[in-house]
Amino acid sequence: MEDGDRRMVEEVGVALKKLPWCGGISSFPKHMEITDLWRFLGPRWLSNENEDVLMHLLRYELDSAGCTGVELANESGLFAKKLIQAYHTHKTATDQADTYAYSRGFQWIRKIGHALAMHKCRHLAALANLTENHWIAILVDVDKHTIRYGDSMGSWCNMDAELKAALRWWTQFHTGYDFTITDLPITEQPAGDGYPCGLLSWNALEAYLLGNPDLLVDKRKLMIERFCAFLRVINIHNDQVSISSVILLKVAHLTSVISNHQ
Amino acid sequence: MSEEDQHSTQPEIKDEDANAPINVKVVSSTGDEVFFKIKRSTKLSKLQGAYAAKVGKDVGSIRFLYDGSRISETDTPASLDMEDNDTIDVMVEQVGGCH
Repeated sequence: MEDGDRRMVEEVGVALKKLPWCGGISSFPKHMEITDLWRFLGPRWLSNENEDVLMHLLRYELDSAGCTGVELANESGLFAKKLIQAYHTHKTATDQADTYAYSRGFQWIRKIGHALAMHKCRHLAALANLTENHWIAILVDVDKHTIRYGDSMGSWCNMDAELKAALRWWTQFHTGYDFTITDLPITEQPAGDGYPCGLLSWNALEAYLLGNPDLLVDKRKLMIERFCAFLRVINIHNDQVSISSVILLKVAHLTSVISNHQ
Repeated sequence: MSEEDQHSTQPEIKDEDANAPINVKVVSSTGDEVFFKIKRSTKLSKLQGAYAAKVGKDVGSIRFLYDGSRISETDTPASLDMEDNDTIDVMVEQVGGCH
């Protein structure tokens, strides 16, 4: 193990000692629990809760880097499934109120499609899990009329046929253009390692949206990359907790000054 | 009825409408639908519990989403501005590692 990797493992140990047993991750949406992060610390399949955490981390990184015009699909896994539902509804609905264009159930997807069509955002990034055991990445580039597909175990040629048809229909429906499908650069999953697709799919979006192919993780260091992702989330949490503590101390100090003065 | 009487009855009518039950469709990721009738002031957590019991799953393992966002424990149809025949999406926990 290299010195840098050893230091990171030690940092994880220190971070774990400081973390509370339960509670939410500060600066992240309320439902994200610290306990959900356990899957990052070993060879485990990542859940949609974990992917949501990573997508919020990506939002932080994009904001910090000044990258605008990127829509990140909330609730990992939902976007692709809802899109496929919309595609089927579009083909089969007989009542106008049930169609994709009018149904309130598809309103939030329509809003995203409309934002892309109006160039309010240039990219849509989403993580999908259609087979209930494998995460893949989807990136819609509205300027280039391209849908990029990132699969750590294959190319877009192996893409789910329904997803492919739904994405092509949806982008055409909103923009009027036929989008081409191509690969999103992604680290290949090593043979015999059946755990990293959740991390690699997210990492492919991160590297592409931040415009830095060097961010693609080294497939020989996947465990270290899991630790790295864990630490990045925990550092944001700790920063927020520290800020809150400083504010509380200042409020307590001001309160005591005021009461003494009275 | 005098004009004054008419004015005095208006708020009651509004209250009744505000609490009138609405029909809500709960749709799974496979497209299966379950219908509920619920008062606009009733917490959606009650509907969530009933849905979980109906499909035989632990309520903690299911995500309930309205308009693409997670429904919280305190949300009601009124607080989310839900309308009659609106849809709630449900997703069970997903994990992934390999094919």
